[in-house]
Amino acid sequence: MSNNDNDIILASATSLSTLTINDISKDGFGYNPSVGPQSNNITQETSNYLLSKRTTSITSPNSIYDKSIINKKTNEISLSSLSFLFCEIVNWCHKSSKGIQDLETRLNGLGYTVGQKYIELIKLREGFKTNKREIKIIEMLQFIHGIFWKSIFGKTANELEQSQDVSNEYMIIDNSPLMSKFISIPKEYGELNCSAFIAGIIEGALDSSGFFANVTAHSMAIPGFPLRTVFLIKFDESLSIRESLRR
Amino acid sequence: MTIYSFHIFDRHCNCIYNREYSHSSSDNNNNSTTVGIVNKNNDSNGSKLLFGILYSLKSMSSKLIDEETSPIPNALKSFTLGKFRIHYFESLTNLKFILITDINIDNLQHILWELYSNYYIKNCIQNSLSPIEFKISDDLKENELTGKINNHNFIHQTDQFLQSLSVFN
Amino acid sequence: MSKSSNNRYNGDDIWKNNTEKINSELFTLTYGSIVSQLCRDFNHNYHEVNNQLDKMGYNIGLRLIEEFLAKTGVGRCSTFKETVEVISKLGFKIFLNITPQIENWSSDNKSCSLILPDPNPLTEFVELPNLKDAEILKELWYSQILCGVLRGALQMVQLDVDVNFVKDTLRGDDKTEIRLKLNKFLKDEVPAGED
Repeated sequence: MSNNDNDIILASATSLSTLTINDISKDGFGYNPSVGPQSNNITQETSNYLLSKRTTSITSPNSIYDKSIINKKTNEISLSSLSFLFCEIVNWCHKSSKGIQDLETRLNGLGYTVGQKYIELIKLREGFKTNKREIKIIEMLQFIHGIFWKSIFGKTANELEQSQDVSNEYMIIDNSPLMSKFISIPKEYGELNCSAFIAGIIEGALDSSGFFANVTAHSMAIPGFPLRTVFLIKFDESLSIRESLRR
Repeated sequence: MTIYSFHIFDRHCNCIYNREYSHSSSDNNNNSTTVGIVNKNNDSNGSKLLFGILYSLKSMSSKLIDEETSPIPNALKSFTLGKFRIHYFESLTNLKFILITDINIDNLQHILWELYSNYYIKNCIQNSLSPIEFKISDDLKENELTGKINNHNFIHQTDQFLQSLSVFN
Repeated sequence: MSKSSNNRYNGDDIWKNNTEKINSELFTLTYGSIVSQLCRDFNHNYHEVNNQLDKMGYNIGLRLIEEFLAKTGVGRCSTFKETVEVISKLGFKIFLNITPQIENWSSDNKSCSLILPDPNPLTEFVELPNLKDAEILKELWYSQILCGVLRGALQMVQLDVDVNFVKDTLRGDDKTEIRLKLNKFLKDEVPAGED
């Protein structure tokens, strides 16, 4: 797809305001705003142009783009497979990191790309059902906490809270986050919380939806839930301005 | 009936876990804190002898039958020594689980299987940051110390499990 | 291991009743994120990436086999043919919910191929960025981690086996094929200082 750069039909003038009635596109093809709808009339010249264009097919019979990702029944695999893989990912990141902080940053970065992709997928699937696009912080957080969480981790998160002290800060709380289930942290790893990966997923999903945020994971065990983790979501300042406009 | 001790040997013939329970009559109170010692005698002569005798018995048992044709391997399960019975289970991956009890306890195969398939798997295998290879280096010299299972959850849970058995005391 | 003979080939039952499951897409995307991270870490030297994926797989295999044995209770297989059956019908089934086909046995019954269904849980959504980087199609084995897993797991049950990809639909091949070759049976280790 990236090799059709030179096939793009260019406007004949660099700026619309400089167009005059006499400016027609070099190929005699394309909409000319100074002419109006007439410029799109099909003429011998424009038909010839289209017919003579050489094209390459960008879809093949086996292309992944031809498969529906909306109606597909999602497959399941063993949780163990994911945890084995995740363990190795943690080990790899640990080897190449300078410390616990750095390790968490790396895990966060890996999660980020997962979140970016997953939000797109889930929005295609669930967006059709809910027939809605979230434009406010609260709505978006409810979507992440509910539908998004349920779809990716198989259950909704436990709590959704707003910070009383700091504006723009929210918390999603999961009593037993999926990724930490099998991992007990040895002493030498200190305060490491592997849910940094999940924090990355949330951050990627929020950023891709235009809710720019920083997400960090913090262990906050309570009796009965030793793995309870708080995902602290701090939205960018600019969002509060937007929120006030959308009120 | 009493369980005296619990050992695990890895495939490199090292004792990676050694738990000895003390049953002194002085602690008759219901204090459930564990008594005995953990991972103190892994490299002792006692545990080497234990491994040696198991190794020999295992070799012998496989020589008694023709392994090529027999559908069921002639597996060593337990043997007795005077007042003691030694219960043995080996996984296909050559992990050896051993319980030493008094002679009155007949069969602990299901307990050994449980220690492997539940407690070892859950706490050591599925825990990514817990090592599963305990050999520190390939050219380990004799008498050099090797790694051990120091996983707190494993120690705690297997203690609880074994102590909850009716045959424990 | 008394139960071994009864449920030896009952991967479906274990999958249905005794496996905690998750959405495979999370797995797919997580795997994708680490492969692309490795490509960056190794500066697009895809041989290095293959090696690293293989190593990671090997480490997984060492652990995975224990869980596999504990869950299935299978006893020792008497032939390599039986082993490969178990890998496909039990191993792949329980962990990835797929059952690769076994094909192409050599006459000495020491090597064969596993044909993975397409797409599989590792490669769903995946297309190699061949337009930007032509090398990737020739060099990267995207699912190499599976070879490492098989190699590690089999080594733990005393089988020295070479495992490698020979075909991958991601590279435009007609199927995704892993080749297994049994080298030898490994002997039990003996204590230091003994024969």
